[in-house]
Amino acid sequence: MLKKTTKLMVLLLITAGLLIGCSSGEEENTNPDATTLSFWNRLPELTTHFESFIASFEEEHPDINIEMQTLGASGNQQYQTAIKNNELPDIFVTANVTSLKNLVDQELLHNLNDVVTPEVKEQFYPGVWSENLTTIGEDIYQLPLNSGKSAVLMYYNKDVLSEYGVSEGQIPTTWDELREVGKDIYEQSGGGTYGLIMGAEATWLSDMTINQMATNITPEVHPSIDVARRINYKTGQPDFVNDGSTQTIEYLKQLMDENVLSPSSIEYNEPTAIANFAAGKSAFYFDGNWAGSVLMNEEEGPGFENWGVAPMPTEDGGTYYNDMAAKEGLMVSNNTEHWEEVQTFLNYFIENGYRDVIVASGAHEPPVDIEVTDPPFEQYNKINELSNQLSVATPNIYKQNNSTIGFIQDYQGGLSYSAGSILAGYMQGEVTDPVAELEEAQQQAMEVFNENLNKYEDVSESDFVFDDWVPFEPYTTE
Amino acid sequence: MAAKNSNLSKFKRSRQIWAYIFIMPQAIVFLGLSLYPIIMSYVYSLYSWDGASPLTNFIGFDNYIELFQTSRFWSALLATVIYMIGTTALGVGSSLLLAIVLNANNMKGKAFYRTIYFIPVIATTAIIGVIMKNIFGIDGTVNQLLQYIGLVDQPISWLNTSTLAMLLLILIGTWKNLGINMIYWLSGLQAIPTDLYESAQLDGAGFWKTLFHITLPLLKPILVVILLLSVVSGMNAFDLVKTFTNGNPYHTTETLDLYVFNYAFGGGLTGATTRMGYASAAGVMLGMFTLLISGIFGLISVYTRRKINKETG
Repeated sequence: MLKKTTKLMVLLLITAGLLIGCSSGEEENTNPDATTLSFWNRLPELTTHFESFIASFEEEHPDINIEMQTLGASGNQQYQTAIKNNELPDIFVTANVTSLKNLVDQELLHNLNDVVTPEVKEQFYPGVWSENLTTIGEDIYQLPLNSGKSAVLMYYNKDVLSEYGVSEGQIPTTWDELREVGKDIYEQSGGGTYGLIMGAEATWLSDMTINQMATNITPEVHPSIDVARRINYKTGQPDFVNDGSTQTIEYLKQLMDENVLSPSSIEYNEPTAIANFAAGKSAFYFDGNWAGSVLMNEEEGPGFENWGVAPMPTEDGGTYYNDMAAKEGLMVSNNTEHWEEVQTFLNYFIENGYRDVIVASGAHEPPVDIEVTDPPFEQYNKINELSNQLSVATPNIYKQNNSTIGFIQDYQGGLSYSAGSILAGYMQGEVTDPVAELEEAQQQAMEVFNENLNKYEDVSESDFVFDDWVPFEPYTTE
Repeated sequence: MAAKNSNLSKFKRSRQIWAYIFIMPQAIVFLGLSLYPIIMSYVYSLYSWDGASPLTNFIGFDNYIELFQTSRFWSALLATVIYMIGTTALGVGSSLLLAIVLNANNMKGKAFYRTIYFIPVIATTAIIGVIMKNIFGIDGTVNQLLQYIGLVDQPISWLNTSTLAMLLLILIGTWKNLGINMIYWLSGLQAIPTDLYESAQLDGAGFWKTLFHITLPLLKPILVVILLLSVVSGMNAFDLVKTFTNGNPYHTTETLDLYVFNYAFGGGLTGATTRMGYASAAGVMLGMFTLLISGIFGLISVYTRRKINKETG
C-alpha cells in the first residue's frame, strides 16, 4: 500500500514538473475573458517596438490579448503551410511567398475597407495605394507599414574619415572620387582599412545596389528586384545586358582589385558587413535606408552612432532611382473569428503605431505625414530625405493590366540569374566573363518571358511599354 | 494431441493479431509522416506551383524537362556526388584506422578517446557550420594564425575558392561523422572471436598479417553497412552546406538538397518567388538518386553475405 502511494506521489510530482516545464514563463493574462489575437511579424527590425506597442495596446484594451510571434529564417515555410492549410493568424505582416492577388483569389484575406475608410485613406500618401501591393481593384487588403520610399544609400564612418583626413565635404559623389578616396585610405592605413565594404554574400542586396546604381546609366530598365525584374519599360522586354549593368559590375570588381572594396565583402552578409563597417574596417558602406536603425541598435546591431549618410556615387555624379512601392503591411486573415477586435487593433495602430513602431524603430518612413520632432536618431530625417529624393513612382504594370500579376510571378520564378549573384561569382573568381554570364541571363529571361506571353493570352509586350514615361520623373496615369 | 495443436495455433494466431495491433499505430504514423509527403512531392512535381496558390496548373513533366536543361541542377548533382564520395572514402577509411587503434588491447584511456571522437556526432551540424565559417572565414582564426606566424601575407579565401571550399566541406563532414563510423567499426571488430587472434598469434602471425588475413576479411559485412550509411549521409548534407558555404562560391558547393531548399523556400534567387513544384521535381530526383545508390549497396551487401556464408560453409 505504502509502495503504491509512493509511486502515485512520484507520478504526480513528475506530472506537475512537466506541466511547470511546459509553461511559457510569460505573465499570464490577468483577464481570463480576454480575446486572444494571433499576430505574425516577419520584420525583425520592428520586433522590439511591436512588443512595447502591444503592451500599451493591451493596457488600454484589457479585453484583447495579442500573441505576437516573430518569424525567423523559416518564415516562408510557415506562411506556405499556413496558406495551404488556411490557417493564417488573425493579423500578419505581408506573406511574401505569393502575390496579394493570389491570396485574395483564394479568399484568404479580409478586406480592410471598414478600417481604412475613405477619410482614413486620405491621411496616407497616395502612392501607397497600389494594385497588388495594398489594393485589389477598389478594395484594400493591406495596411501599409511604410511609405514605400526606399533606396540603397552610402553610409560613412565619421571616425574613419576624420582619421584619414577626409571631410564630409569630400564625400565622393562619382565613381572616380570613391576610387581615389578609397585607395588613399587603404594606403594610409597600411591595408588595415578599406574604402568600402559591401554585404555581397546577400546577393539580393548586391542586386538592389547594382540595379539602382545602374539607373544612372540605363534609367529605362526597371530597378526593382521583385516587380518587373530587369524589364526595359521602353522596349517592353527583359534587359540584362546593358551599359548600366555591365559597367556597374565591372566598376565594383575594379574596386575590389584595387583594394578599395574589402575582399571580405564577398563573405559578409548584411549584419556582418554592418558590424565591420561600425568597427572601422571601412570608410563607406552600401545598404538600404533601413540600415541606419541597425547601426544604432545596441541589441541587434553594433550600437554605433558616429556615421553619416549620402547617395551612392554614380559614374557621372548624377542621380539614380528606386521604384516607390509599399511592399510591407499588415494583413488580416479571412478566417478571423474576432473581426471586431482586429479592427480595434488596426485602428489603434493607425492612431499610434506609425509613431510608436515605425518612426520609433527608425527603420522606415511612415506612410502617413507625421512630423518627426524627436527622431529616434540624429540621421533619421536625413535618411528619409534621401529616400524621398531617390524613390520615384514608376509605371504600374499591374494597374495597366491585372493579368500581369501572374505573369510577373511566373517570370520571376523562371529566372535563375541575378546581377547580384553574377557580381558575387565575378568577385569570387568563378565568373571570368560577366558579360557572357549576363548574356546567358538575358537568353534565359527572354525564353521565360516569351513562354509566359504564350501562356497568358491577355498579356502582351505592350503591357510593359510606357512611351510616356520619363525616367526619374514621378509617373502618374493622369 | 489434435486439441493441443489447435490450442497452440490459436495462441499463435492471437499473438500475431496482437503484434499487428501494436505495430499499427507506428505504421500509421510512419505512413502519414513519411509516405504521404513522398507521394505528394511526386504530385507537386507535375504542377507549376509556388506552394501558396491552389494546385491547379498541371504541367506534366515540364519541371523535369527544365531541371534537366538547367546547368545549375547538374552542378548541384555533381557537388552532391563529390561530397558523398569524399566523405565516404575519407570517413570510412579513417574511422577504421581509428577503431583499430582504439580497439587495441594494450591501449590505455580507450573510453576517454572514444568519447572525444564521438562528441562531434552529437553536436548540432548547423552550429558546427557556423563555427567553422568563423574559423575559415577570410578574417577567421585560421587566416589570422597563418598571417601571425608568417606563413602567408594575404589571407586565404578558403570559402570563396571552389576547390578549397569543397575540400573543407568534405573534411568537416568527415570529422563530424567520424565518431559514429568508429562505433560501427568497433562493433564489427568486437564481434570477431578472440580465439582467432590467439590461434594466429600461436602460428606466429604478426599485426599486419592478422590485420589483412583475419580482421579485414571478417569486417566485410559491416563495411557494406558502413558504406551504405556513409553514402546516404553524404547525400544529405543540407545543414552543413547551408551554414558553412551556403552553396558558395557561385553555386559550386550547392548540393542537391540545398538546391531543393533554395527553390522551395528561398525563391531560388531572392526569395521573391518560391517554386515548390520545380523544387519537388529536384527532390524527386534526389530521392531516386539516393534510392539507386542504396539499391546498389543493398545488392552488394546481399552478395557479400552470400559469399561469406558460402566460404564458411
